[in-house]
Amino acid sequence: MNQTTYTSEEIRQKVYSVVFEVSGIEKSKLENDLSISDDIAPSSLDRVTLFMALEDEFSTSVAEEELQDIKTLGDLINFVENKAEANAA
Amino acid sequence: MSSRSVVITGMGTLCPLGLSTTEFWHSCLTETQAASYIPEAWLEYADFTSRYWAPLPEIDYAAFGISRIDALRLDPVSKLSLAATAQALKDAGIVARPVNRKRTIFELEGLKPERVGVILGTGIGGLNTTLESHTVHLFARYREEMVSLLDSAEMDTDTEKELHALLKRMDYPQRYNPFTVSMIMNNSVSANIGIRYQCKGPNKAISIACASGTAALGQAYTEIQNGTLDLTISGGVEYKYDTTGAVFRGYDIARTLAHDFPSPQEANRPFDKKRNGFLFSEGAAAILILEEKQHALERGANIIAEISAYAETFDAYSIMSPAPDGEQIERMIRTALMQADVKTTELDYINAHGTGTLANDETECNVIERIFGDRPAVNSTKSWVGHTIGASGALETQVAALSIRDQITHGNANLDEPISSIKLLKTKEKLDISSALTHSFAFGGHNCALILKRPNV
Repeated sequence: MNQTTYTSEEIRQKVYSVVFEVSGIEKSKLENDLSISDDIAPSSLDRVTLFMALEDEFSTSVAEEELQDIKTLGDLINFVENKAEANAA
Repeated sequence: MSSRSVVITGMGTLCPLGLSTTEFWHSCLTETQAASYIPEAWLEYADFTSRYWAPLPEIDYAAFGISRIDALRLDPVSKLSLAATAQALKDAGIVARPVNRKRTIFELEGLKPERVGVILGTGIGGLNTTLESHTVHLFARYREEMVSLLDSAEMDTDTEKELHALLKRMDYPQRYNPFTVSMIMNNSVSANIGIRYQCKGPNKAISIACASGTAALGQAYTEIQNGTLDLTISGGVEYKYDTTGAVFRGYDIARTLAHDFPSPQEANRPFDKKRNGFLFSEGAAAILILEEKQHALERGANIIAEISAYAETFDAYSIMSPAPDGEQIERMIRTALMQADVKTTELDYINAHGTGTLANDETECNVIERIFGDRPAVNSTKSWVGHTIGASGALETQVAALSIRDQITHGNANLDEPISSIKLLKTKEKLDISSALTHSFAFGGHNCALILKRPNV
């Protein structure tokens, strides 16, 4: 994670921006219970792109094993927030 | 003989002389030099003989509809080809309507997808990604070990500083891109276009070094003429930059590049007695929309020029030098002229291969002289824009077409003492151009030629 510290709301908005860019789903329609595999990134290539885009947005790297429990948009936002906290510590 | 005629109805260009066809053409006619000194950072890695190159201007790919997300999965060579295609389609008056919510897939209005093909030339494809991914693969773990060592080992301040400075210089991407394979493969340049614009006719990339662009256009011409396609997105693209100058080094160590001149602007001088190599170019994309003539007329397209012939031969001589006798080049030209029904006494203009190497220019002048004498005007677009390898033949076909359209063409840069009595233009000249030849000769011995004519509409 880069050195900039984001608030929870800033992280949410940045994740929304990335999800919109990857999936085309308008930000106004993004909700925590949207499924990553069914709604946001239906193909494996979309999923790889989503996490590459997040790495790029937050200047961090994400290991494959960290992604296994991320099923929904809400999980994704929590994951990014936790990673930000861990890097800040 | 096919009754189907093939015409050029649109063009798109990104090159060191401009980020549109209009800008490129204007630069040619105003004798704008693309040459400058190579990046200083390259000098850390090797001692080069040549110090000159033709860099691309900075490109805002988002302005061409290539998003940040697209950019993560595309080698620069594909970004170039997509951007130039967007321009070319617009120039041809073809509307691309988005059909998905991400606005990354488009339908070309009024065209049957199965009758539209994409045929591009590229010499080295996604080499930039190859080099970056390989660097990450090679050094990532060693870098981690060095960081760990720096954190744990005791050392004096100066040594620590030196090691930190060394680490800083090991500047490469942090991740091995999961899309590496699809980014480096040569066919990515055409496949990405086909996917974006839903073109379902033949889709291929042709790779024969400096003749790739001409060959791609020739294949596209053939596919339209034989009835397989009504329209093609065709041309050439190349991207040769890397952060360390490794690609440049390949050409430099083979002594192919211009060197030892007082300034970069004086180095690039095809057909001049003082020439000693070509000007390395960062890259370019030159896309032409080729179309069956009746198809173009029916949709009210603007016709720029007609392609009347394509011929190709192979020297079977040397992997890096043209055959000095020029016999296969001559055979190719005569074949193309016959196909186009143009006599040697009728051809008005030749856009030469004109690289500026000792071997090429001498052979090329000899062949032109024995076929045509001093009748047709001859110029080298490479003398201004540098050698863009896979894109060069397509850039030069664009110049031939624009020369026909505007009845004027550019001169040869730095032509102080011509090596031949053929009609090498020193400055731009208004000409009566009814027919033009553009040809390319490649490392390996591949020769390709196109004949263009003023459209009869």
